[in-house]
Amino acid sequence: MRCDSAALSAYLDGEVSEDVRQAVEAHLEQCAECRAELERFRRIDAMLGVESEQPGLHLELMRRADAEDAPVHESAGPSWWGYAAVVAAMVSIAGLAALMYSRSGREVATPAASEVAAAETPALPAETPADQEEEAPVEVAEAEMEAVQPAVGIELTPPEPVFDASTLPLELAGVLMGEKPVAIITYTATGRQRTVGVGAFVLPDIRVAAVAKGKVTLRRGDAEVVLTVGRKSASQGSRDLDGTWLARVFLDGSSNAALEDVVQITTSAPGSLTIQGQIDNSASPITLATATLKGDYLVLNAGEGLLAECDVSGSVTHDGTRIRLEGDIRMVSPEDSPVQHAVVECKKITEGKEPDLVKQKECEEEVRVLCKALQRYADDHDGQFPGTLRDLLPNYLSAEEIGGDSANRTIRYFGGASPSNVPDVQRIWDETDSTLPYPDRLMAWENRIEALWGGDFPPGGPLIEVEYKDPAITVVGSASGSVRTTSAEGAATSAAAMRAIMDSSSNNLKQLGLVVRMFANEHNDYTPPGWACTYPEYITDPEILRHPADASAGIDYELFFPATHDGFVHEITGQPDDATGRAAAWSTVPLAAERTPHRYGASGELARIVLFWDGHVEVVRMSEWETRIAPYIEYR
Amino acid sequence: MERAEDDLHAQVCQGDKNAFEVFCLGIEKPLFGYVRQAVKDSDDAKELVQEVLLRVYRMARSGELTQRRGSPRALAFSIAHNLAVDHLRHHANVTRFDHGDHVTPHVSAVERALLREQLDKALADLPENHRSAIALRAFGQLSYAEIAEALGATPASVKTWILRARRRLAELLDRDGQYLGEGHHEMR
Repeated sequence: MRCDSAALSAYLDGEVSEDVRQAVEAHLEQCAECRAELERFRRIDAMLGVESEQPGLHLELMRRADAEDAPVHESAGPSWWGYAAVVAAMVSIAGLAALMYSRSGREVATPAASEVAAAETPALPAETPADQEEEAPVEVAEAEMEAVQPAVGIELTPPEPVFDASTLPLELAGVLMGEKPVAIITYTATGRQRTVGVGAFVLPDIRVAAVAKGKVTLRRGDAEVVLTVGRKSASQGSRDLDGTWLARVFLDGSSNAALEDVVQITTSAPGSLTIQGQIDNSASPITLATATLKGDYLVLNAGEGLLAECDVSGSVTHDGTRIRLEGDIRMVSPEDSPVQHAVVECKKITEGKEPDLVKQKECEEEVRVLCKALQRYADDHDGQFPGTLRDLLPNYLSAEEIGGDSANRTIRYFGGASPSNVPDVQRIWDETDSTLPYPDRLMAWENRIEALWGGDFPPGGPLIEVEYKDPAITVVGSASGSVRTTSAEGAATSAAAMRAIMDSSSNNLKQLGLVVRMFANEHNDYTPPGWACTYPEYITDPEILRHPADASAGIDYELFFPATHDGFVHEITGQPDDATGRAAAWSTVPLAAERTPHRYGASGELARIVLFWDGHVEVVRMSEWETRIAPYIEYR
Repeated sequence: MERAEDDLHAQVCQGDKNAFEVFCLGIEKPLFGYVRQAVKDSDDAKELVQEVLLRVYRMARSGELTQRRGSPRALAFSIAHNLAVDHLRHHANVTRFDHGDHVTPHVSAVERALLREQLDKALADLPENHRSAIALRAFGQLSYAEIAEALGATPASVKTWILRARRRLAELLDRDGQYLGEGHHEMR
């Protein structure tokens, strides 16, 4: 073979046949010039790959992916109510996870420790004695070197025999969630937390090989490392803080400021405090996954399903039964969010005092399990739900799954068909008259789709309704799998129940705001002509079109400006067409609202929840309606 | 490792969100590198990479990915290429170089930034096809067949373009009298 740059280049990319490969390697041994050329090529490639910058995009990206999925997620568990059970399970290991990270580094650092760890795990195949664990990968590496090194003539560093888990940018913990072993991963760079099962990837080349309580086995290629979660000793931290608390977050300048949730508090070391919980509220969505006190600083890290991330710094005081965190809070996204003053108050929940919240979550979980079983049944039966709930047994639901106290509940089952025959909205769009002006074409599109639904839009509706005696609540599960709870003691009289309804409705409107934004982004900045054309691409769960307190089957949210261009908004208000003018207009012009007023506040005055163009929602009292909202609607 | 990647891709195709996040962790840096060299602006590149990954995500969620040949990785780079080309068309008269804005007091970072600058210049002087081909190879580790599909060319052309790009880059960097830095080389 003669010198052939083309062959060298292709050889470098592994794009040559076996024959050519051998020829190139034989030639390289003899030809210093080609070795030099290959080395130059290699360096060019290496330099191209040199990327000094960490883009760090995936967190923002996942936030956007979450936003796209938001309706789906909400249906799996309406905001924080649904997460609480999971959170509670995760919580108990919160402090441990942090401990484990430092421990794990030590364990893999010495061969003896990793042997012990490997021997401890039942997940390793019996025929793999612990002492072979490290040798096997080394053999592979040496074999590769012998085959490659003489031919290419460059130095190779042998790969690490067993990968070093202490360098991984994550913290891990294994827990049992019910019967199911799961690994909880916290990425140290972003604080983002994920819950995964066996077989899931942790990093692109590392996956979870096995999970047992307190232990996670990671696998990269043939190498496995077992990480063991350590138990904290009694001397660490002040144990009197550990336990279940009710947390309330107060944001200054927010109309209904208090957000609350049951959270778990663990103290892993003196002066360090971890609060785990998920706090979400329609008025000011905050997902509070962990709050860590470091010296005088309190760091809140947001978790999954979040609409906002926040950093908090400030002071923390506690007396054993109450914790007060105070500081400035700023949403990380969007970047220009204002700094807000926030106070987080945690009150310890003692036995028998406020158990209803915990019980309520158990009830909701029960209904969710039922809904999921019904959905599985419908999936197997052409979208038809069973005639009676008994049909679910035993293939779709086991007796244990729906255990609990049957005397405590009354189940009403509605049955029917799951949403099917959804019009192909994209095809209908393609069929519309493309010569029409854009808004008219959008409206024609919506009208066609509505006609196809024939009044059955939105699909779905309540599937089961379970009335509990203790606590006195009614949990309604819908065909789409979402679950909502109302207090059974007369919805109109209970302030707490009204607040839950208000939160739920505000959430619906917020999600509709997202739907409008996403739609406009993809349709020349026009708002949707109605809701029907946004399903199922943007509205994935039609339940968000129903008001939680209204039994009507129709759409409970009115879109004030259908098929309207974004650029129209500042015109209505007469604001200048610049950034400040637009911002002012967008925050005052209503975009959508509840169709019917409700008595939300303590005053009992009728009010409607309104979504504004910029995506925020407000409860607008009917006494203000004429001045604040009506003029804009008339303008249309 | 390769099998792990195949498995990951399979999980991504099925619309598994966790797998997608892991996929993003692995691909965002090379993808960013590729797009950045194409559009020459870090902020625009970030936007584009997000758009690329969101599109992949949407395709995964809609089940479209399972019907496609090729890996999500190749698809991501293919989409990235198309978006970058569109982007450049829209910003045809704007030429920006933003290297150096990430220079830190560390010497190594300064050196890296300088290296980056030389390389960006050298890349910019390449014909578009050559530049795209070598960049897809270097950042995306795509096979010739995958690059060919992304660029709408034949694998044979890709092979030639990559060779010419490598030769030209080596020349350009040599001509500028710059030592071809001790870039970390590794077996691929």
